[in-house]
This record gives sequence, C-alpha cells and structure tokens, in this order.
Amino acid sequence: MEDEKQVLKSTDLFKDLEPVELEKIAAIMQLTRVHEGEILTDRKQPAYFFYVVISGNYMLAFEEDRAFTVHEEGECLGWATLAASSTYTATTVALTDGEVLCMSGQDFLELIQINSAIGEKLMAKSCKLLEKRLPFAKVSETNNS
Amino acid sequence: MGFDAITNQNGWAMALVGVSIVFSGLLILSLSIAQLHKILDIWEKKGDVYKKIVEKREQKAKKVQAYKDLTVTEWLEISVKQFNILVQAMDDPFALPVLLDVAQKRGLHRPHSALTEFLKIELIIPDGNGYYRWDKRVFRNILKKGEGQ
Repeated sequence: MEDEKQVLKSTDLFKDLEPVELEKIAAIMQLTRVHEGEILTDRKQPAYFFYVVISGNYMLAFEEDRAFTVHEEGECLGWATLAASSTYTATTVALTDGEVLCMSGQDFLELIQINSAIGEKLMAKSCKLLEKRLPFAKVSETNNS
Repeated sequence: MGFDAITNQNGWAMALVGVSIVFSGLLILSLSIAQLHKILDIWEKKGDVYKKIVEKREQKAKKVQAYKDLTVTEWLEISVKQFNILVQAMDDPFALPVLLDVAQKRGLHRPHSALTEFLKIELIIPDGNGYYRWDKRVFRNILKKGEGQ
C-alpha cells in the first residue's frame, strides 16, 4: 500500500494532493498484473477504467494508426475514464508483462462527488496533462467533425 | 567647382557607398532589436535550457550504454531480420500498430516484446507525429554485433 502511494505521489496527476487525499485515491485503486499482448483500453469502447503504470511497456494507438509508447512508472492510461460518459480515444496494448494500478470510473466519480476538492485539483491537472496528447487527439476530433 | 568637382573626385560613388553603409548598419541594428526578445526569452529560461541540454546528454549516454549492454540473442537477431523484411514493405514513416498487427498475423515469436526491445535500442524511432522510422544504421550495427558475439 505504501509503495503504491509513493507511485501515485510521483505522478504528475496526483503529486499535488494532500496525504489524506492520496490515501483516498490509493484506497480505490487496485494493483493488477498485466500480460504481454493484453489490451487495457479499446478505442471507441466505453471508458470504465483508469490506470497508473507501475511497470511494463505500453503502446497507445489512436486514429489513423498514430501511436506512442509509454515506458515510465507513474504514467497514466485511460484518461477518458476521468470524463464521465466517455469512450476511450486510444487502444492501449501491453508490450511486455507489467503491473498497473487500476481505478474504475464509477469509484472515481463517487470519490469526487464526496470530496469536491480532490475533483477540482485532479480536473485542473488533467487538462494540463492532456495537452501533451493533443496532437494525437486532434486527428480524431477533425475526423469526427 | 560645385557638381563638377564632386564628379571628378568620385563624390557620388562615395556618397552612395556611405549611404549604403549607414542603411546596412541600421538594417542590421533593427533586425537585431527585433530578435532581442528571443535572446531575452532564452536568458529568462536559461534554467530550462540547461536542463534540456543535460537531459539530452543523459539520453545520449543512456543510448550508448544500452547499446554497449545489448546482448544480441538468437531470438533478437532473428526478430530484427524478420521485422526488417516487414518494415521494408511498409511506408516510411510507418505505423507501429500496423507493424505489430502484421507481425502477429505472420506468427512472429513475441512481437510485442520485440517492439519494446527495438524501441529501447532505438532501432525504431518515433518521428514526433505518431509514426515511426526504422534506423538502418542501428539495424546494421546489431547484425554486426550479433556476428561478433
């Protein structure tokens, strides 16, 4: 549990949370083993889970077969889950065996409904972080419109 | 006297050269001032610039070390050769998900792991737009290293 909290604290998304808030996030996250070739998120399918990378290597495939890979501990996958009633914008494939912290969108929504301070902090932060992935998201936006 | 004297002593040409020098100077000065904000930006962000330089150096050192530490196993050598054939039949830059899909359909052994290795040793490099390139120089080096081991 302590190790998981340390990983959460190291992520850009959660680093500004207070220890008590971090505790609440850690409580709704589950450590999950991922196997090589496993699909974590499926593009255009409903987004139910959000992941924080503990170990392993992952490929995120967007529209027009654009892709980038994630190799670092603390990287986040399945961002769409943080926006209610949304679908995944990328297909995430595990390139190697690894471990992730997994949180369901439902649990997250319940948490921020009870604790709006956490919600505000995370939403403000996630907007900034998502800008990094904008070049990939833009393609799908253009195609949808 | 007068204009004739100016003409006789190449005065017109000298005046023209003088005007050109002054205007060139002014032009250079105005261009320098126009670009001054960039220099000031760099000065203000010197910490970030230094950080980027250090990061680049570290990345380069990491790459060199990764290549030194690389053991070209039989599996890696075979995978590199097989993927090379697949990549040659694709566009440049190519789409990584398509390469993975083709490799899976062809029944290549552990294509996901192979891609991870290729990314690590920078045999496959991102082009910054979501597509990837196959570094032929690294490919040749791996084969050479494989023969030497």
